[in-house]
Amino acid sequence: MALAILALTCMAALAGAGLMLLARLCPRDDKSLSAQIDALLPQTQCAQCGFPGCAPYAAAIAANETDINRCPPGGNATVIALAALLGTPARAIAADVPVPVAPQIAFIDEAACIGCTLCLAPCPVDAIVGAQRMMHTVLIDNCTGCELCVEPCPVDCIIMVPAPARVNLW
Amino acid sequence: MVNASALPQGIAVPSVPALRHIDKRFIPAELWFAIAPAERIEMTPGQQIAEGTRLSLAGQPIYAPVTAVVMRLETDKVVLKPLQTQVEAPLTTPTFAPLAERDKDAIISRVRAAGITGMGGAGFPAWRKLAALPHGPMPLLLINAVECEPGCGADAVLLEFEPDAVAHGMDVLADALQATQVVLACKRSALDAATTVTRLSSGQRARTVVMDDRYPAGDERVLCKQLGHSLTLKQRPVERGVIVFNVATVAAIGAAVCRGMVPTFRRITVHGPGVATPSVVEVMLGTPAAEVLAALGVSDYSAGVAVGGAMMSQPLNLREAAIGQSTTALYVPARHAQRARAACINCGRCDPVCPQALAVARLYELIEAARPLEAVAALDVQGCTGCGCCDAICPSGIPLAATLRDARTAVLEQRASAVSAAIAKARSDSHVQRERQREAQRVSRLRQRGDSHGRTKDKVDAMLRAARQRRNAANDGSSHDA
Repeated sequence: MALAILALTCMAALAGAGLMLLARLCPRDDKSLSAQIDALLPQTQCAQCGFPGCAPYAAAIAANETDINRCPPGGNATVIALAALLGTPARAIAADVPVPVAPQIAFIDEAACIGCTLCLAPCPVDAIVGAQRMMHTVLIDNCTGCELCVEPCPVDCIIMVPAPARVNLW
Repeated sequence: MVNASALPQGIAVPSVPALRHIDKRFIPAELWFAIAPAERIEMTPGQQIAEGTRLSLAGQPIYAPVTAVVMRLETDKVVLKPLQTQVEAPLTTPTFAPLAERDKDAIISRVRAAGITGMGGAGFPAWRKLAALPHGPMPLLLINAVECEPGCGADAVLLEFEPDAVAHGMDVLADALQATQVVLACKRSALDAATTVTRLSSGQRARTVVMDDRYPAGDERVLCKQLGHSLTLKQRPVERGVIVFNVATVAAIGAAVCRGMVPTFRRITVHGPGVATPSVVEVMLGTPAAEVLAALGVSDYSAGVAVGGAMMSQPLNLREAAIGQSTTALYVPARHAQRARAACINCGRCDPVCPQALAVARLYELIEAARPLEAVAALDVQGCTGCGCCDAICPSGIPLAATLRDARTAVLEQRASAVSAAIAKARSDSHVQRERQREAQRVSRLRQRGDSHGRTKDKVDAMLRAARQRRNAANDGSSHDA
């Protein structure tokens, strides 16, 4: 009897010590959740959610600091995917974020561009090329349509146009 | 309508009565070319454009088929008015000199300069198809003259009236691609003409293969299977060493290489229940579709007009549509072509007719139940070519092909956005990292500058503290005032 109690106690103690050791060795991985959330976001980097990009928004969702319905480019599909991942109910897109629009890209009216470079830095994906006093242009394959370049332009030569079809049904 | 018998894979089509062949080149009152303003050559209304002039600067080259006057310049198209009322030949003077070299690169650049696109319907630029081919000899060059769409016959007429151009094109391509075998696939009715073509071609490699009167015998995947090169749903013919070209494309390549001609005309079939005498007519590229119909005496098209035929058709907006290189046929449906739609009765007849052997019934069930796209993609909905055999066989009149096509588009779009999201994420990450580096450099530079002025870190911190206190005091003061 005593032997059995002793043996069980030892086993429990060993298992406990092992678990403690493992927990020490492998710290809790908070990043994986935010990375999983980030993978579901459209990577437009438009900051319409109020965070400076998709990764910060994903981190905020992972930390339970904000709602899952603040991503206009992702629309309802993203909300549903996030809800499925996090096990929370899906909700309509929040009222205080811009209304979702069809995919678009920026277009620079090159005749009007004065080459001020003010639009270069705001572009989160470096999709605008140009230099001082040289006209700028948008790399259409890389533009995510975030509109962050529109506001800084002093001559309003950047407009948003519908994105070309990404799928060729040849 | 097509008599759909439930034989496995595809459906049998009744033989159609011979088409009227109009052996006269048709000159319209206007020519429409969809060229965006930025891509046009400089032109002004009233200006005369000589035949063979290149009209577009960027993209696929487009050439004026006939000497014409610029009538209007619209935002989406250029409108020309032909000056002649009759033409004897597609072009009186060739645009290029005949090509002496016959290597692949020379052929590709000539095909590119001539602006030849696939003439079987999809309109893929022919030079890109050639340029994407792997190096080394191609085991099989397959020339597709099997217009399997019921009622179409323009390819047969091409074989009969321009055997030289087709034979030249076959030789040119066979040499350039070092093809070990050349096969000209056609319908039984065009066998004699096709045999003439293969006899005209100089190589001993060419042979004719007759396809059954089934639909879709002219689908390139079905053709490959018939010739013993079965493809899985994810394989393209090239991966089995087969390169497929439409016969009209081959003729255009032959004309461009051997005679320096650019495509300015094409033969189209005008057919359907709304057409009294189905005909094959040679039409100038750029001719408004409505003018073609008017010239053939088709006046009632209240049910709309489409490109294609009874099985596969794309609706056409007659106010905008002009004949292009990839317009194979104009189809005028009967007035009340709309079929009543009933619920799916799970009869399963759509599965065996699918030439791609898709589980059509199951796919339809999944799509209707709004199941996730992954589940639909897992059943290879991307393999759907939209041939419409399932539509023809469905007793409930369900538009299965359209449903599957939409699902296919959605799957492809989802994949494309996943790719671009990954690229955007990588670019955004590097952008953020670079901004961080720049900020760190700025801070260290400022700190160094402070040091060079004899200020130590403590002194700077003390000055910062003092400045903050001053600011807070000022803020407090102003708030008290308010």
